Amino acid sequence: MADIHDSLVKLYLNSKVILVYSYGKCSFFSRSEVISLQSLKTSTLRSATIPDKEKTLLDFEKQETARNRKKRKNASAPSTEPMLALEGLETQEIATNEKIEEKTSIPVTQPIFLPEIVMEILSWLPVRSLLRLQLVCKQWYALMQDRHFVEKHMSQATVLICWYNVNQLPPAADETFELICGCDGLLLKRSHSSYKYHIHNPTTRQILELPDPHEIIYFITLFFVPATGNYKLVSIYNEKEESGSKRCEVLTIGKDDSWRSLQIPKLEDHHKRERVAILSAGATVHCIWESQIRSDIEVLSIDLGTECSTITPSPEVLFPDGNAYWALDWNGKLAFADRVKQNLRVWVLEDYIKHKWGEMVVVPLKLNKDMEGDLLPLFAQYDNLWFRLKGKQIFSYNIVHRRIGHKLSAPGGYKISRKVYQCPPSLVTFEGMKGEDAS
Amino acid sequence: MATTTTETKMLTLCTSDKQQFQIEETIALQAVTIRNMVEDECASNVIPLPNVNSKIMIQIIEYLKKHVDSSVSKEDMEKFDSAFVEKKLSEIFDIILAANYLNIKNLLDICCQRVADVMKNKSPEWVRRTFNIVNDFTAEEEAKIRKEHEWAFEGVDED
Repeated sequence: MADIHDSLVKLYLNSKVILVYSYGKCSFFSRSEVISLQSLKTSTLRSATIPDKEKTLLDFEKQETARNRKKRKNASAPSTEPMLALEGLETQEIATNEKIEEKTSIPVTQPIFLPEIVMEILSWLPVRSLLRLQLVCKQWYALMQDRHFVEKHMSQATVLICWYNVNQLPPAADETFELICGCDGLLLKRSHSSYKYHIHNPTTRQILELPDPHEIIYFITLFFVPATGNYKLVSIYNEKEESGSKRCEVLTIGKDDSWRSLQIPKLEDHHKRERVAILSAGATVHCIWESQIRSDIEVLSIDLGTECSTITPSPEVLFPDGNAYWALDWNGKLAFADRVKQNLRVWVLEDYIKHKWGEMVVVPLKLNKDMEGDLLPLFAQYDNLWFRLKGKQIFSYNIVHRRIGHKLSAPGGYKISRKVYQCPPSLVTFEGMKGEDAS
Repeated sequence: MATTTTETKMLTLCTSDKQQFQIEETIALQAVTIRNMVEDECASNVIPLPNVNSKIMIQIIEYLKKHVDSSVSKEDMEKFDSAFVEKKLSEIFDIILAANYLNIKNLLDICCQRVADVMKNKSPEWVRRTFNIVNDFTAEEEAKIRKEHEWAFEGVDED
């Protein structure tokens, strides 16, 4: 049996938003625990080279944290969410707010602003404030439903990083859920008791119940399809009949009432195939299947814009040494990587439609001894390659300059593993969503 | 700076109240609108800025002068920025309008953040009053939206 990783963790550092989601064995949890970036070790943050802009945003984040504390203090339900913000920071923040109060006592007399400026201002507000201030007027309300605004807000003001630790079981939860994946602040979950799937936006505290997909699911994932402007769910399942062939179905949120069957090419030799990983790169979902015979890999790629799919066999030269390998998002393309001593070797699926693999890329890794341990490459964005150091931290490595950039450590008691999920807060909402408590 | 004053290219900016400001070109070009005007050679000697008055221009020049100085550390720049936005809201609004017109991204960002900070814990009523916005929702509509996100209304600042 191939020695491959049992999970795929993905992390984006898209401007200032970090998102990690993990697939793997079912992980049991009852309640997501939320910890903000602020709770990361301060020393770690200091040591990281954070660009100017992000630093400003980190400061903004302090305010978010203070806000969240306040929110939690005011929440009627007993909260199990630990907030580890530094006390000192909060005090500072309050002091600043008082100062602001003094200076805002004079009301503004001029009519306020062009819509574009309203958008600029509101994009800096936390979700909770926005949900409240959508009541100001119809224009503001409409703005907060607007996809362009939602994206702008996600990309700049929402620097909050939440760690959904599915490992720790909080007491007295009625229903437990399996966390499947996440996208744009949304979590795809499945109830352990009712087996129903739902999409949860923990920031707006809303839930969308989903129609049941077919059973015996290999992969299920959720993501945004820019071409159609919708969120779509894709599920690959095993047909119940004896043939046991793999089928695919799609659900477009806000459009489909039930799952739609999607034609996919037949996988060869499917009985022997094991699930490996699913990865979304760009607007394409890649399902990676491996046979029992080493290095016989097939990649099923589904373009969710056109809903066309194709199968690409692995390049012949792949993994000649029989090392462990990983699948990762390489600048929006699927890539396989393995590690030989100090080098990471990467094969990129340059054009999945033409089934064209690129030449092997060798990335020399110049890492300290303590960074070398159990490394898992996550994804590459521009010149930065992100790794997870098992149980310890997530860091970026600049391929050109051959040095480490950002380092993010998990807060105390949390491990960065496949069971930790990070998700930026977002305003994304769907028709038919209900409040968390309503269901 | 290495360049001598005799070599420094100067630009003249003319504000809405017909005040003229002579500033170094490198400082002025941080404003994308001015840069475009200079590059397109729309402006010869005097650049008219009919949307900015002299009072605001003085503050914007103060900001641009600081930000053109590459010797300022990141931390000092942040300190400067946070001190810079410690102004009355009405002034911040004027700067926002000017920064939007002149296309000075970071200035626009810090001012918008400042306004957002003020609004963060406020009620919709406070925002309407402060910003002169007319509530165009019916009572029913308002109640419905409020009910959807009741928790978001907990713990807001007293009006």
